Amino acid sequence: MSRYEKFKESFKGKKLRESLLGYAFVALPLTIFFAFSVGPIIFSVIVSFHKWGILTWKMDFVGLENYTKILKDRVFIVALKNTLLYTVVVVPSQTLIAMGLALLANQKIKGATFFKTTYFTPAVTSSVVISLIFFWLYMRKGLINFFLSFIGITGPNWLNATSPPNPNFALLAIMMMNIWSTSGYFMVTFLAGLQSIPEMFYEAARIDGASRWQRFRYITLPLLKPVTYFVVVLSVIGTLQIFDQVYVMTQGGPYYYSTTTVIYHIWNKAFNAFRMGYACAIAWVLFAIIFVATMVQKKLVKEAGVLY
Amino acid sequence: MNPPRTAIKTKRNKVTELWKRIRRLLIYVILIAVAFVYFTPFVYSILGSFMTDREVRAYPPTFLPSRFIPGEWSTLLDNYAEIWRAMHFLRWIFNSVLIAVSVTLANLFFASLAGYAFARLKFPGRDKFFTLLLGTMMIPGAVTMIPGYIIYARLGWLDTYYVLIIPALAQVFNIFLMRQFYQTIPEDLFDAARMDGCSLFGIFWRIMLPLSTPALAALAIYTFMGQWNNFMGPLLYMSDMDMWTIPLGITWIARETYFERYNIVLAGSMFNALPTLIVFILFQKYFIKGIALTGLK
Repeated sequence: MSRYEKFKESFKGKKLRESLLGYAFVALPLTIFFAFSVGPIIFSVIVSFHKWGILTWKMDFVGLENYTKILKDRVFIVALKNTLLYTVVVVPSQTLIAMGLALLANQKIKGATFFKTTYFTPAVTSSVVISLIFFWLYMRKGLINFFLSFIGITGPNWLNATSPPNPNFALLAIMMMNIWSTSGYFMVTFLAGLQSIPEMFYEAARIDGASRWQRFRYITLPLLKPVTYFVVVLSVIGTLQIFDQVYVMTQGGPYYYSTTTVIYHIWNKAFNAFRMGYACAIAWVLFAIIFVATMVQKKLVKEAGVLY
Repeated sequence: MNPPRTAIKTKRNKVTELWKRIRRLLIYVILIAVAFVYFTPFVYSILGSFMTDREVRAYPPTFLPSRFIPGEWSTLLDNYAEIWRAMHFLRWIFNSVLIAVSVTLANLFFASLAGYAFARLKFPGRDKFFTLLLGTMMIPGAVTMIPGYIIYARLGWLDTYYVLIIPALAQVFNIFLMRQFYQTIPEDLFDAARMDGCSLFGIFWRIMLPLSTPALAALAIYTFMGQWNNFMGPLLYMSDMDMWTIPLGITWIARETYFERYNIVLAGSMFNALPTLIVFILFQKYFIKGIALTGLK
């Protein structure tokens, strides 16, 4: 049967009803999806090959110029460095912390629910509120530096530190805040993974005389790999797109774009400099980076034989 | 039984017993220390929202607001009164509620219908459409935000509620969540109902929907929270202050009207944070449910 005949077949007799109902149920979501996702995605490709200021509504075709300009854009290079550094620090830290906390809370202890709830709280709080709270806590004479003074450290003026040779304290501050705010969410994800490992595996290993470490190394860790993969992918996608925190806390500063991230740069180019075409081109470069990062992780994971 | 052997055994047991206790204690110490790190910023900012201008910036930090002292109770809510009187604030709350509630209700309806269709109804192109839906989830929001802006501007939707509500009526993530859920319901149930002459919509309305309460609860909670906390949407599409939502409003207030008056800003933040916090505490198990449904499949 040809594909067309098959297609026709599904609109005959009893099947007609089901097909029509199916289309009716997905009609609105699909319309919205094509109008506000697929449409803009295609449009975005087109815009990225044009010079377009929003004020004039006039598009001038410039070919690949927007893309070649990116490499010469010093601010973009800084923003990319910041974003990658941010990702490289935040992703492993929060994954390890989340896994560690999940392993601890998964022991048969009282109050596990309490700990889970407490760690999850930042995940339900708006990024703006968290940023505003930490804006206050990171004051030169604020709570964080107060606690640091107990262990003999004179804390810097985190969000307003001066330029190098000082380290990039503002970026570090945003990193620490985000490790804090997302670890709890991923801990709950890990816990769900841990609880799906059948108890009988552990019992069998115990009978065979496996030590606690061996049980962790040869049962927990391998069976936790799919969850770990999921957490790392989500976490990479999230960190590469950080924006809110930068906007609220530092607006890309305090000195020479020290906390400007790729998304912040795109936003700035599009809505402050009104260079829509160029901003779209950067957005596609960011997409390429996210895509490559995800594919690399998938490949690594496949080679390690994790995904079944 | 041999007495000396028992003695050795009990001794060894005592050692392992002690070791177990130490281990357990250590776990508690770590978990409580981490809990402290998580609690402190929230508790301290709730306290901060009651402090005077001087207290909120004092060093070493003040922990107990003077307004908590019985004689000062008349001034207890001064910061909240001030933010409440601030320009536009009530309007921002109204906007946030309107947008979050309408988007959540729409998603409950449209996403569950679509999820059901993708999971259980057979129609041509079903799986292709679904793959396409999922495929675009990977594309970052930054790619669509600029052409989106242009499209909304052309439609005349900027500075209207449409721009935040209509594109969000049926979110892909929610359709995915509901489809995952409906696939866990055995097909036999579906077939049995059909045998008994139940219509396709009847199966959805009388059997599937009542069964999916936990999934719907997870959907409602996540959608509400996503909308309530949405920052970039209003930032991009709303230039009229009367159309702003709370997150955007308090950011502006913190930067302009009440710059460095952290106590007032914190009081304003409570209006943003408390609703989601209360929802979370009341419906905790559904949050975990949502993670389990979408994360581990």
